[in-house]
Amino acid sequence: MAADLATALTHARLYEQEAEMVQQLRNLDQAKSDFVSSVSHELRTPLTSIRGYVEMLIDGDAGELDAEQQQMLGVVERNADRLLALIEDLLTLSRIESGSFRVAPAPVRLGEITEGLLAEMVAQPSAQGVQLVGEIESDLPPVLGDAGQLERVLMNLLSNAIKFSPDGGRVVVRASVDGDEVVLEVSDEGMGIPMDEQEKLFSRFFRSSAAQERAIQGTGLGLVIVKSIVENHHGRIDVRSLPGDGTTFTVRLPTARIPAEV
Amino acid sequence: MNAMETQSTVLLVEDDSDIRGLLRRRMERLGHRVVEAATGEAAISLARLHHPVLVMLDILLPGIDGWEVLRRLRADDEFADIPVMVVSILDDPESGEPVQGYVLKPFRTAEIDELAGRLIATGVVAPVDAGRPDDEVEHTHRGHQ
Repeated sequence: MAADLATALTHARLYEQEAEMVQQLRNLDQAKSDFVSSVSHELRTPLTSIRGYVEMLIDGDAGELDAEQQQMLGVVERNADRLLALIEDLLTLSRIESGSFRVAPAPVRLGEITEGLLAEMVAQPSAQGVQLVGEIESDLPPVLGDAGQLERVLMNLLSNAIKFSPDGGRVVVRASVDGDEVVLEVSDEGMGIPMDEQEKLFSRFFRSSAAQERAIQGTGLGLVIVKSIVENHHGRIDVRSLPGDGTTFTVRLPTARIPAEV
Repeated sequence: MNAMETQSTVLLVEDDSDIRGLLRRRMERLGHRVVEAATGEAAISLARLHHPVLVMLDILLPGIDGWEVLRRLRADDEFADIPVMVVSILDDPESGEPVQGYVLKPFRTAEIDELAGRLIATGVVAPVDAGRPDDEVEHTHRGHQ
């Protein structure tokens, strides 16, 4: 009996210690997210001045510039934009991780979002002349989630596909239904991703060898954000790719169960 | 009436002197006179002294914050309807008084010119809910491309 009591006490103590450790880890994680968030916010202030003054210089507000000066200021401006993209991505990620990224679950029609986004992107053609093709099933059931975040998923996948496409290549977006899931596929005809890099694609700041070799710009956070959003929506994402034979990202999201209208 | 008196005055409330200089240049370029405040308290005194046609308001300020400045201005009959354009790093303000425009830092200078120009030209416009800037027409969120 005494032995049983001692065992029970030990278990209780262990349970308490474990709960305490979990809480400590949660606090630590929250502190990290808060830190990233406040640093990202603070970076916006100096960036406001850098971009604003450079823009005025480029516009000739402080006098006419020669071609070399224009080119140099263009480099500053482009890099300020890169820094801003990184800050925005870090902020988004820290919000997702801290749970403060507001999800307003509502029925979302991915077909409509896809068509809208494609129309916007077709209106602003990429420099490489990439052709965007939408193959969207009619009457797709809605999914439950946040339209803005799901649009971001599609936007990130599409902009990646365009960036890694050859000149004049085709990017195809398919939206279909498979059982109780809506399936979104984004395929490109790019150089593909080596097998050993595929598993690292969703790791923070990972830059593929192709991205580095071809100096394709990116923060290394776009796919991390995509995966986090998809998983927050109880979905999953996969990648299929063969070197030299393009890449397809597939997102599966559960369809919304909406009560029948009365 | 001299030239100075014919210009409309913009009250610029911003604690970062570099950004203040940037916004002042934009407004002067549009032909406006600018009075600058680095704190919320100074902003209220300057508003009473200069009767601006537009307030460009930062939110995170030393002392009273931008929302408190706005509340105090709105409580004064003279400024109850004055157009206010928030220019802030806060992209997700928890709570805020209705304002007529919301620009997120870092901004494109064209956004500032366009919104300020429109608010000054049209005077009082329907307020937007500063708590949900992303959904509002007057909010000019830069967003990275």
